[in-house]
Amino acid sequence: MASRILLVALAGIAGAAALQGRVGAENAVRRANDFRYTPEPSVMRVLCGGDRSACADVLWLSALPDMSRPFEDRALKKRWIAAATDVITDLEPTFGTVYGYGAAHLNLVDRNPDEAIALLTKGIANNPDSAGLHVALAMVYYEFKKDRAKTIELLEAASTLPGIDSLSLAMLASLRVDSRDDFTALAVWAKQLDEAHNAKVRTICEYELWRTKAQIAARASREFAAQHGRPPRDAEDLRDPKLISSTALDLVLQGLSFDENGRVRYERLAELDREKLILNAESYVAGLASHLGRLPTSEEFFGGFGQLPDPGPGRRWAYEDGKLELR
Amino acid sequence: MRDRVGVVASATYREAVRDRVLLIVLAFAAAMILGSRVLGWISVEDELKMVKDFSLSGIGWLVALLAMLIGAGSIAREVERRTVYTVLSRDCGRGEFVLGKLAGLLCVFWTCIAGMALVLFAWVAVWGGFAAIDSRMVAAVTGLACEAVPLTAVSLFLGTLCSPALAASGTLAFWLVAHRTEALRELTVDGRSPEFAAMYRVLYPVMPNLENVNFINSVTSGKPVAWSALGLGAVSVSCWAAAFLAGAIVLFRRRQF
Repeated sequence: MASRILLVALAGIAGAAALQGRVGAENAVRRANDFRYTPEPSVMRVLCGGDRSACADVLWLSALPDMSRPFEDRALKKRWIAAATDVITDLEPTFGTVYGYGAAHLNLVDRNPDEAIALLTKGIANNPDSAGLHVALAMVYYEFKKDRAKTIELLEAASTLPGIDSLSLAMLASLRVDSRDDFTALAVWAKQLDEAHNAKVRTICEYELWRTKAQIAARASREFAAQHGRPPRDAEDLRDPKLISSTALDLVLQGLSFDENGRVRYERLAELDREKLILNAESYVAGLASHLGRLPTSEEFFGGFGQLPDPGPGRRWAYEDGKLELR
Repeated sequence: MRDRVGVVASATYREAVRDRVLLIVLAFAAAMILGSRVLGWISVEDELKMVKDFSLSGIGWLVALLAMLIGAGSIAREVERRTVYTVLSRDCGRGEFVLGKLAGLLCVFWTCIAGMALVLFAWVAVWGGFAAIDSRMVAAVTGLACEAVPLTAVSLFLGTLCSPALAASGTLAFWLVAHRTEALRELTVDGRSPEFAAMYRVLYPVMPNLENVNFINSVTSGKPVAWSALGLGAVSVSCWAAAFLAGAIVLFRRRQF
């Protein structure tokens, strides 16, 4: 009796297995449709009850693969991603990733900057201390709306928030330079330098401050060349409030020289560039060491780190015991 | 009186911890906490957020399941096994019996919540280090412990009123509804649904609201914990617990065996 029952059980499993291929194919057809339903945020809030965070996570996990999946109906995909991100951020207003990724997708894939702006504006309203959301919104205005004033306004707001990255600050400074707001452009980095909490951050801030000076000087140099039909011979040629804001004149001209090709040059900037490179080398060596399980050899280091700049007169680059040094 | 309540409570505690249902529910919650990591893997980032959200929701469901499966049938089991006659014939009032039941069940539920919270904290520490365990998580677990109080009282109230299956269903319904009381406010905010607004004004203050002690949402918000709000919420749900407990005592006193 027992063996018969076992036989029936095995036959059942074998039958189901035989059918699975065909049924599975049918399933795939049925599941490939583009149907997605996102209820009203208010309805979702009622449905989720006390588990809003978990519901927001589930919705996000279901929306994520759809971002990269092609839909037959592209308009539906646009609506679904926009609605899903809206509902998720309604359920959990502090879900930072959804704002960031959702806006990036709406922008870059869906080419839907208005929805991206709406999502990021909602994100900033709910998370006013998030530097990342301010920067993301600034990028949308810069890239897709060509609104420099709004970009500067948002980056300015982000620059006062914790967690602002140096790349965004550099962009703010560059935009200020472009809009001839030289003193404020320098002030962006001067403030960061003032608040720098360790030697590494200080080096980066000082480097960026001098790089901003170089940007201003390069702009002034180009304008001088256009006006006079020749490049400036020395820094004093640029002492003109029409070329550089009067409040920033002395700051920019101090230490400025030009190389044989007429390019702007600051000795301090070159020095800081080398210091920054040493810092980068430290990170590179640490990453490589964790991968190799030992410190990289000189060949491994120089083979992978890339070309090193001019070490300056009478000096040379040396790599020893995992450290890049100037000797 | 305190001794008699204590004796009933300790007997209830011992009986509940021997219940296999408790082990099954605990295994479910532990699986939910440990399994939440899988969701973290399939997300872009926010791995720890997923672990925390699902684990805390799992502990919330644990509380509801415990109240449904253990609390709701607690008194009926005593009647069925006729142990209630022995207890009540020995100078123990019916009110004291219900109070003892509540105390015993709460001790069991709080022990389970504490155990699950330790599993969660350990799991979060494994993936995110000790720095990932913060006061917001403690507040969320404390809120869940507070939530257990009215749920246990409701399960006892319904357990004295009807069969265990109905009491369990009623407890589940209470849990679902009481977590959705906030919807009354949210659906009518900013002048929306004016027809609901009148209902909201009348119903909102007199509806039990378990969202008063739900701090799961604030775990990943990065904002500081509003401990005073949690305290007020705890008082509010305790008031509801007292009301249901009083109802359970009244019903149990009138009950004919």
